[in-house]
Amino acid sequence: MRKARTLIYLLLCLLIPAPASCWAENLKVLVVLSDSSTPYLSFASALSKGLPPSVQTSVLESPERLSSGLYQADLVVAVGMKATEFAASKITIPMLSVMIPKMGYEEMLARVSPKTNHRPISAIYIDQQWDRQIEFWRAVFPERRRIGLLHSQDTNVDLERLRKNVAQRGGSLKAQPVQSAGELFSRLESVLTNSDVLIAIPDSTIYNSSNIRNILLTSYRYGIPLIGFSQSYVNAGAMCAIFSTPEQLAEQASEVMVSFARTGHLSEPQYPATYTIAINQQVARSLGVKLPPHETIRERMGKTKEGE
Amino acid sequence: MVSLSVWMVTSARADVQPSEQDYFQEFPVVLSASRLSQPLSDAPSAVTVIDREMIVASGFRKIPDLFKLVPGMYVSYYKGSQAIVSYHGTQDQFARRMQVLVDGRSVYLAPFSDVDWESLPILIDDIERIEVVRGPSAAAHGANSLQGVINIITRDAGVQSRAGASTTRGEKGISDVSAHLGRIGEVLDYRLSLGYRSDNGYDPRTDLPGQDTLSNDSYATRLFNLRANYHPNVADNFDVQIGASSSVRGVGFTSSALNTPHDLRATENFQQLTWLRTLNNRDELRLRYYHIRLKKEESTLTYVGPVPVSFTDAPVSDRQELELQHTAQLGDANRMVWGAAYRSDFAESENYFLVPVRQNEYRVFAHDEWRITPAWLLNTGVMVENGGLGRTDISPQVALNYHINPAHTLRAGVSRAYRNPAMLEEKGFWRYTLPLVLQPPFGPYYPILVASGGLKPEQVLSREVGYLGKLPDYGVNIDLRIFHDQYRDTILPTKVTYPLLPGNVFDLYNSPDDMGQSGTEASLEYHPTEQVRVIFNYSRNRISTALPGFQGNMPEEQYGMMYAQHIGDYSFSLNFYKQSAALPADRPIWDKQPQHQRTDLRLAKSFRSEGGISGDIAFVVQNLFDPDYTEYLITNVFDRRGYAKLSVNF
Repeated sequence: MRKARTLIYLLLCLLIPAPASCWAENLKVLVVLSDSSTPYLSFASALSKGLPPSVQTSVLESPERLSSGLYQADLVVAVGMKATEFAASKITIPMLSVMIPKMGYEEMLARVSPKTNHRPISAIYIDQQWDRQIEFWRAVFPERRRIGLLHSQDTNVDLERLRKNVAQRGGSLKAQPVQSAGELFSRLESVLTNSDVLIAIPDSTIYNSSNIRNILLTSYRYGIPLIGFSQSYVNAGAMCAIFSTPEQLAEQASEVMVSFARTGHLSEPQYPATYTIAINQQVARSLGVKLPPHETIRERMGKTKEGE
Repeated sequence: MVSLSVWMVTSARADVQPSEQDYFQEFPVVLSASRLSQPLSDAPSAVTVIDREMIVASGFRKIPDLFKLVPGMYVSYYKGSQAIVSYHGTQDQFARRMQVLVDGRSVYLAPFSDVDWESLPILIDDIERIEVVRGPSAAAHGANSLQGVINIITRDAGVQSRAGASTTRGEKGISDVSAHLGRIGEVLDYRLSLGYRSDNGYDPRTDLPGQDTLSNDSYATRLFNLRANYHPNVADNFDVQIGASSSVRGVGFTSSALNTPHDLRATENFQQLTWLRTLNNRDELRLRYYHIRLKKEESTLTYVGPVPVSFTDAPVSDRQELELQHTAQLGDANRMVWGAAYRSDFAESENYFLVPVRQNEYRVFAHDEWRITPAWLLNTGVMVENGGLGRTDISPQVALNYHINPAHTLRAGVSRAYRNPAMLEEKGFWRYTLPLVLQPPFGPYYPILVASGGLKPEQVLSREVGYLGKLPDYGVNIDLRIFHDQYRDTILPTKVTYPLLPGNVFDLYNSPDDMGQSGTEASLEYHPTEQVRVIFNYSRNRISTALPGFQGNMPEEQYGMMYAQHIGDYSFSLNFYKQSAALPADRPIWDKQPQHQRTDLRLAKSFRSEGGISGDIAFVVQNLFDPDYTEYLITNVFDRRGYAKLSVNF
């Protein structure tokens, strides 16, 4: 599908007398990865497969080697926060930042000097918009109305807005601040006694590999499902998760790149267009929770954009 | 210390900026297949789960008492520190026909086929939950799961990163202390528990001439256990447990000539290592090794005329087991668990065995859970064991569950299981060596039991149908079971006379008489709100057999009720137990227990201070109303007793 659409764009570019903004002939893209670990490499390989031949990519696996002026590229695609930071400060060509949290992108924009900022710059976030997460919760657990949430001072979540959104969808939010690592357990117990489902947020002060055992074992004991935001959560024992894979983000990135090639403009920063749903059926069975099939969940979420 | 510093490093990196790393972080598999409990509606047998909330609401201090919360279970004490826990009766002062596992470690020891509950190096507060399988379950739980299986699951390391202490003081010498400490780290978690438990056992009884006036059964037990969990990467998990206990218990009777009142000193220690490897995120390989050593030292002194006679013994039970188990998800609808184990039991005693005895057992097992359709579930299992007595036994189990809809499940099952004879029953030579002046002409021994060997294992064929109802809208759970169990080859003592030997000596044989047990068990739980929980249990069990003493050995009817309520910081629970009359198999008619009932009450208030200190103070009164309540022996009077427990967590 995508390839066909890309092809059509390209054909249009070739057939219509080329305006100045159509750079489709030869878009040179520098892809900078934050490091050479699996998610970044998966992104790079999915991206190169999905792009039309007119877009030439070269991949740099360590952003430290990035230096100004060395690259004859029309666009830099920075994959991850680290690559984004380096690309933002070292080079001045148009930049598409991908696989980064919205909050990270905005903080970066605020930090980099306005001088380097005078260029097309945009992003594809890794985090799902809250509306989608709320739709997901409603679709998977229509009966479980009380959402529990743990947050720390490092959490970048607008709780009041979230509370309002949840209330609009017929639920209630029980948020507990965790001030210190020592009080995690008591806060967790307090949240679990007053909620029907626990929702994990990207906050490494709370959700890190030392705490995850504690969180999963305790929520399991309370019979409260955990909603995660990566496959890893579901593997560890969360009941379900909604997330976008590097492949899905790469596909979206290639669309933005082709559009850039065509128009010379980068589209506005955007949330992931497609997503993946993962379910841990064994945990669901063990807790006696009946989960709807994937298709039903997507149907209920009212979005039919298929992932995978 | 290692994990402490890891912890500090972890909490020090607080100035984190938003990063995609949160989305790609790999986690260890925490809720692995073997850690997840099977939903009751999918289980091949009837299972009662005793959870933490029930443990707390029961008000019990001692683990064996918790089984009063299970329909069909008989709980009593021969002495204040010698518990008898049996499902469907057939016990004498030892309950021999039920498997007991603590985190997969079989504490039902082979030399005497019993469980020394008081020596288990775990605290009641260490228990996460208990799953009691009502019915034979050899394919899933190993040899000797004849009548049922008690599966105690202790708290994981890594659940609590804090310290706490508790103290209990009460009437009848009740005095308990415990302390625990837990730390959670990046790759290593651990928890440590220390405990002391003591009371004066049963009350004295003065109104029965010729019976013991003073019950010599006060006891004091010290114990510790350590559980550490090392998870160096996402796939591997090493669980290490060690523990030890030491107790001093009053035993013997003032009315006994040989078993005079004296102290028994029991020590137990265990080490257990479990390696769990997750394969492709859903299959699992588990290797487990454990070692248990139990030693009971005692020395009695009696007088035969003017001659002082002392008997000293220190029987040792020692067990090692290695088990490998593979859990494989064969498609979405089929899961299989299979494996093999090797176990070696060792016994040594001056009075019970002529020479040290060793018995080695091998077993292979497989269990398959097949969801034929979303409504039909077929559980099949088999265990093949060589119990070290020169024969191979096959224990199969088949159960079919039909989910009428998510709320209602019907189950029908049939299974066979075996109990190997205790090493004492098969190879025992129980005798006392007399001092020279008292030695009879035939030798130095005064024999009690001479096992001629060649026993067959006992076996049971169990058939049952069950119904499980789960009605969350009404807060109601229902568990019904109708069963018929047919026992064969029951091992019984018999008196034999040998030429030259004085009086009678015991031997053991497989009785040609069968025993049939039929009955009903019902459990109803009503959980209308988070704050209120009510549980009713009922069981009825008819025993028909010609086996001596087994008829009427189990109360025919038992009732139980728990009412628990939270109001703000306060918790209130009322527990009621009632059972019909019963006479223990090895007791004379005057020990017949009439129908009796017992009411326990618990009241608690929890507190939490600003400084992060939390805890609760609880008041418990056991047996509120019945001053004539006795257990097992007519001299075991369990009068009303109250205690207070203060628990603090830092």
